[in-house]
Amino acid sequence: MKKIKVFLAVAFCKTVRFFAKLLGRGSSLPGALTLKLFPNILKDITPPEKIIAVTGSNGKTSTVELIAHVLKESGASLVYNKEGSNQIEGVTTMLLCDSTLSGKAKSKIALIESDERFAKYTFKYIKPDYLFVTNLYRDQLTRNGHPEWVYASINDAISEGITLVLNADDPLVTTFGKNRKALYFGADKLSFDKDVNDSVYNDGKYCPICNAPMSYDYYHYNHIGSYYCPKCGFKKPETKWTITDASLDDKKLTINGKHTIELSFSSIYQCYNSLVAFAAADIAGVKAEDAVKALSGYKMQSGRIMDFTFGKATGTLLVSKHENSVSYDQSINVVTNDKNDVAVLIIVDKISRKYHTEDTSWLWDIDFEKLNSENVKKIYLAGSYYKDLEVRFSVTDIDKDKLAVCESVESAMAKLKNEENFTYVITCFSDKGKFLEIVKKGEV
Amino acid sequence: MQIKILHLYSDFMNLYGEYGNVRLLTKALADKGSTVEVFQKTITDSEIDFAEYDFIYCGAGTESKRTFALNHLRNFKDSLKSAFDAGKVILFTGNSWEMLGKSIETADGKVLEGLNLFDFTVKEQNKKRLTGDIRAKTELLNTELIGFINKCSEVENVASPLFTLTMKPESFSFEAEGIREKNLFGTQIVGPVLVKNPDFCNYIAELIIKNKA
Repeated sequence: MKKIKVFLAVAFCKTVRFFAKLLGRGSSLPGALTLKLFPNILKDITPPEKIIAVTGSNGKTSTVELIAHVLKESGASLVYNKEGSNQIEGVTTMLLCDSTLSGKAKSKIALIESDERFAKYTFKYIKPDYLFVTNLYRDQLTRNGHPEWVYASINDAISEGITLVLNADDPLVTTFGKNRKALYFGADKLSFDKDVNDSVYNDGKYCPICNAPMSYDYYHYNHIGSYYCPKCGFKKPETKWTITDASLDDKKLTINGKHTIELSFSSIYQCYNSLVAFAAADIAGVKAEDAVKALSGYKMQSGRIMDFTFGKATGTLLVSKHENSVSYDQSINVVTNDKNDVAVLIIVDKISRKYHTEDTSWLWDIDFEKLNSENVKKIYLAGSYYKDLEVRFSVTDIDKDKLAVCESVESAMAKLKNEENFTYVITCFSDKGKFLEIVKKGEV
Repeated sequence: MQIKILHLYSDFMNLYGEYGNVRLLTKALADKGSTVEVFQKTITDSEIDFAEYDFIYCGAGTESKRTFALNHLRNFKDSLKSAFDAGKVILFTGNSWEMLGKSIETADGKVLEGLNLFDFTVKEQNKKRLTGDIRAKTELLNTELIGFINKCSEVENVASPLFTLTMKPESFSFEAEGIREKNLFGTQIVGPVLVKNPDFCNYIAELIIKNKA
């Protein structure tokens, strides 16, 4: 009976996948339909020998892309959810389409990007050998509640036998490792670190174990850094994989004091993504030299960073996440680190492409004050939420003459056409399409 | 006029950009000719005298941080009660106003003693969050309010709600929302409610000025 069930499920999933692809549908639908007919099918298949999973608020897709690149370069037999369908439906599609009709995985390694809130369903039957947690930030709170709520969801997904691989620099993430088998990655003190957390809020202010005020030796950014609790002794754990040196100007980082990776795009999150990829490669048995070679100079395919030309304007699109202040803060960091004069265009037109909300409270968590920087000459605020942006900027000390408030993306682009400074465009997946379409047309 | 604002637990009851409320209110008061000073008190402070301030504000936090705040604020409940009785303007948003009732039952079944200003009770769960955009009306304002609710609790036995919801997600079983007694306002709307609702901001600003005069 079980054999027939598996045969039917795999055949069904592959067939739906074939037609869904023809119709341009995503990788989630085949798994969703299969699960309707065979709800526990993941229990009955033989998954790949080694399963590595990645979850967390930010950097999942980029990290998985990097890990997959390194593993593929090393010749590993790998399956992964490259289209980013990271809930149980997408994972089901991926695993069944990689199976023989008897339900046995063809690939040796499965690399799974998993949504934080739904990991507990995905990992009920498909238990990862290693689970990476990249970080926990305020992310899409309109549907995620808050970081501690997400923490509880991930916690429910962790069962015995899973080795956790945790970001040691994120206090809340570190606590997953308490009384569990865990390995850690993180960064030592770096040249661009800060002594104080000067962002809008500090989610590392109080100890996640005992609630006492925490101290930090240094902050890499936001609440990510080296912390300790003077009251209960909770502190940043020892790291197995460590960024021992990094230079954003020279675009490189060194891991464990000897493995230097050249970055094609220099940012602190790219450093962390590379570190996680290095760690995952190590776990998968790839030699350090081979991992370094594969990671060096690799250009991300996932389209988070794109160059553009529009009229007189040239610049870079920094795809950030709406409802995610850390992501915006990172983009702002890129802008203010530029040694040249620049302009910035911020677009908030549609908050999410997946659900409707008009909540813009997250704008208040972003450190827009930092754009009050000598090198930032002009700031365009655009999109249907231009008024929310305008009010938010009204409480910063940024000179009003620098601001151009535009009620639509189109009207902003009409002005941008004549912008002579190099321009950074900061917006979300949900809004980048509108911008890129106008760029492609070459006119408004 | 010299106005003193107290922003309670601004360093952790700040989950949805709540400080925006204080910034915009400060601006509104300044526009009306007042000089505004903002003070902060948090968990490490051992003395709070609510009588010193003209306006008291607290925003939303995680459930565990709310417990953290409640355990601390209980030490000052008499001072808070006197301020409320004296007609002080007080605004608590998000889950912070739930501290003002009789009790809060947390998701793990513990019953926390509230600040006992009112008779309502609160019950939390950890299965499903009630989230969504809302619109609401109140007799205090001519315009409707807009906002976002993000909670995991049910409040029972509120004698005088602040709002009636005119638009809400299907998952919300309640029509009335928040609390209003004397000059105290509580609403489950998270984030910068005064930013999204300039009329409400103006109403509070005028009330503070009138109250002080």
